[in-house]
Amino acid sequence: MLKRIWTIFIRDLTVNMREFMTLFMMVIPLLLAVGINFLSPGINDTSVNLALIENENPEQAAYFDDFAHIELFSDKQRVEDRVRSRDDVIGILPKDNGYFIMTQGNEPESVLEYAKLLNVLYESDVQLEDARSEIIEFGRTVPPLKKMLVNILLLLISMLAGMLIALNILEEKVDRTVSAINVTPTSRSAFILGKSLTGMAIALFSSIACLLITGFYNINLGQAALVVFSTTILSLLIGFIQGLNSDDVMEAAGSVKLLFLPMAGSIAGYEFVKGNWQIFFYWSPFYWAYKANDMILSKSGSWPQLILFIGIILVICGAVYALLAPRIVKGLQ
Amino acid sequence: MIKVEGLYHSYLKNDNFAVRDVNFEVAEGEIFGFLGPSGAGKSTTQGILTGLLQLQKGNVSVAGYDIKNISRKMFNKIGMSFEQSNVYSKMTAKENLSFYSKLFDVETRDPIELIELVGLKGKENIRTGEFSKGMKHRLTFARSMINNPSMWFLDEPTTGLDPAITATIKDIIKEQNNKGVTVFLTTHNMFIADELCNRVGFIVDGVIKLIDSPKKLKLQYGEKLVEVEYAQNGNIKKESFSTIMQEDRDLLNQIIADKEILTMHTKEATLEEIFIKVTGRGLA
Amino acid sequence: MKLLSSFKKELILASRGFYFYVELVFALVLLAVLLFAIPQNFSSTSTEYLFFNLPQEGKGIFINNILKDDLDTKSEMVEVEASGKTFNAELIVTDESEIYIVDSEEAVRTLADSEKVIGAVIELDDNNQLHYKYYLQGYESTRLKNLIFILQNESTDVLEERFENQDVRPLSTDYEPLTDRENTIPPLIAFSGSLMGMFIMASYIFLDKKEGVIEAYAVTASSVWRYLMSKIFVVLLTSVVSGLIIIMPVMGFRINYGLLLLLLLTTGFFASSLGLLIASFYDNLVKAFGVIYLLVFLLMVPSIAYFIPGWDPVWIKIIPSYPLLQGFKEIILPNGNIAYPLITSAGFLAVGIILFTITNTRFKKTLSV
Repeated sequence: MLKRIWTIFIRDLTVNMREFMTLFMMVIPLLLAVGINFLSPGINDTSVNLALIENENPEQAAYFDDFAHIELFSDKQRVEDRVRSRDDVIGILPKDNGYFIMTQGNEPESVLEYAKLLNVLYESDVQLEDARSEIIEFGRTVPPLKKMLVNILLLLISMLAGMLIALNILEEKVDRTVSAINVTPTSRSAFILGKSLTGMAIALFSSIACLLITGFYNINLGQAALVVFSTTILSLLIGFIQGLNSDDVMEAAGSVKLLFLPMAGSIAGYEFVKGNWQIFFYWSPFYWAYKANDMILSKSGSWPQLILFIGIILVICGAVYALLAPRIVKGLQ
Repeated sequence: MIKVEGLYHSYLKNDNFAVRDVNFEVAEGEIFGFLGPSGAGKSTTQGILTGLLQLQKGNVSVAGYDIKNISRKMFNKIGMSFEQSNVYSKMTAKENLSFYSKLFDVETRDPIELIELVGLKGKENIRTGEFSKGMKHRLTFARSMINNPSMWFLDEPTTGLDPAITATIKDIIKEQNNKGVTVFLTTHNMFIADELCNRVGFIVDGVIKLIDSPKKLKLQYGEKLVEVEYAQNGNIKKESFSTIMQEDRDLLNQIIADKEILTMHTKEATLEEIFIKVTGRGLA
Repeated sequence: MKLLSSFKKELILASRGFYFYVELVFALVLLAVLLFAIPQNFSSTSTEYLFFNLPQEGKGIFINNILKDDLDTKSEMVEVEASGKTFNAELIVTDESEIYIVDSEEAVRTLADSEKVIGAVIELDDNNQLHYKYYLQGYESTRLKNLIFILQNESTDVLEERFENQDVRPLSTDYEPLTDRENTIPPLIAFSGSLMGMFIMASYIFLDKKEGVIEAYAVTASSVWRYLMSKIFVVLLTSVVSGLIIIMPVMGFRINYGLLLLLLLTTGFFASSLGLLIASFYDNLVKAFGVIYLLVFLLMVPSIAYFIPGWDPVWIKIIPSYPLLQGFKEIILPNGNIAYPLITSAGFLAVGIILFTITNTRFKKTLSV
């Protein structure tokens, strides 16, 4: 049996490597990981954007530069034009006895307050050198947003694995090769396992690679691999059922795409919904996977907790399998 | 090699049967043909014999294995050539056969040898997605031999093939049969059945009407006549002569001696004619 | 007339397909998420842990100051757990934060580390001056750290007074902010409504290619552009319906639906034409999808800038989904800028026409495509 599983896996892998879609599915997460690395410092550095008149008060500009992004313009009109533009830029302009704050009128309150505070500090001549404060850091260098993006990426990889499986199954359907396999000593389980391995292998590889690229190399990669494995099982199940029940690639892709909704909803639920209300997301394996990933990426939590989360994911997958098994078996006949 | 008793199958799992009370046996080393029009139940029967369809009612054994509880080991002894070719279009011919050979526990044949055998030499490294329909069919046929099956199921093995390739396929079948391979052949091509099969079974609407050897059937249902076309005074004449009545035999001899014979055919019944006579339906 | 009958035929064909309904179901689900999962406004209360290592009087002054902002001007004694330890705390809840006043620096450090929030110890230094010790995570930006550093340099009362007296001159006063739920709408209709056209068009074309319809069309008197355009119309119809499904229940009749339809149609036309153009380069749906997915990921980047106003590099504004998002936002904003979505629509229409023309030429030339 193992030999046949391996044979099917190698066949799929060989054929997939020739396919643009598979290479794409392997490469895209890596590109996204690089993108996260590129974007997250900028996103994390979200102070406020100030527009000032160039050379009007260089000392002021230098002062603000320690606390905000500064853009310099030649005159008041240019500053006004800049403030009017779509993003949230606040102008600080001279008036008779000081400075006033120019806004467009639709900035979030937090942005305006930040700008007001800076202006107050400047006017009060509060300098960094005179600080009476001390900062002690816990040494965490990964901002929450980056952690969230990486977590989303890990779930996305599992989804892509499911899509890959769906496409592989579809290939078997279109070529009618399932019946050819059925007249060999290959059992159903061997076939299913063999077809699943490619998706799993690619999911694991991509996940570990992305974690390393985004700098998460001192987390417990074994724990991460376990979570990827369990989330991928669900994707594989759905991939199988969609591959067997779809007649063409678009249908399969469309069906798997629908999975993005519970995934996105689970992420939104975990991040934005308060405490007890999260119980409404307990049915979703993506919720637990996201939670487990969050724990691993934060290097908090424990093995017992992780095993509990993985257990819940597998139980849900088991329930889904029990529901879908007759259709899978029928489709394989 | 095959024993079927009281076989029933309904796709809708009701009283609408695709095969009804089918009984037959196929001896080891025999070429058994299943003849019938489309929708007769040939593929259904073959599907059950090969485990592709679940056995609903009846007793079936193939190569010594009870189909009711199929052991995967049975498939080491079986080869199946599908009517609709089903090879991986994204793999080359050689890759298809190599992959398939690894799914068996028994010794398998060399893929290149099989590819050459069915006339695909030089095409082994071409993806089957680029093959013509006939080429794919040949590859499917070749694949069915990869595990040296002792029980060989052939579903329309010569469909869509030109006469030269058809002849090659027939020769391969005969050669394998001479080596002791049992063949279960489903077709609606009576020429193939006539030429290859030791016995044929006629099936219509899921029911077997008749099982016997082609020779006996033709003897039983054929007319003992010779039909001759010959030239006479610039005209073409056509006459039939009995091969039993002495008068006709003498006349026939005379015409052969004196006239220019254009065509001469014995009026044996064809299997199709016998089929129509027995079942009241055509093979098409 | 030929175009209209072609459109009707394409609509009937599409309505028999699975894909037609996926988009509508998708929109319904998004609506459900919008109405039931996304709150009207995200609560943004932060958590802080403080320890006043001061004489009782001084501590009292600080706490009373904070209590003024408490929602019921009363504090609550609670226990908080972290890293296996339990700490007593006095909880003060304001509308912006939950402030836990604990009774040791160890508590502050442990809780700030465990909960990953800010902690502070206020104490007296050797000169009997107030000294602030902040516990931060480490990933905070330098600018934010600088701000925290100097925040306590000046007296809070003085700062507050100056803060309230700041001269703020808005260029326009008739802006009303959107709720967080409403603010989520533009990205949803941008992707579900407009940009989905890319995928759907490519899907329809490859389906027809598979069935040989395009070649059949080439040998008729009807032109290829009519065929392509009628397909686009079908996609536009689903885009508009999807967009309306999402927006109407939330915004009601408060917005300019004429402008919304214009933007949906023109951006949908652009996306469909782009999907068609990409499809014309490939003989295989899978390859085309690969490129389309790549594009979609790129088009998603401006949504980060949309949700995080402080991050707004110049290169983001070149990506077409940036004006798309801003255009939808202006439409749903009360007193939004009408000119912006109009100009945006014109731009997308123009680019869409160019893309369609190129695509039409390609399809005519490469009909075995």
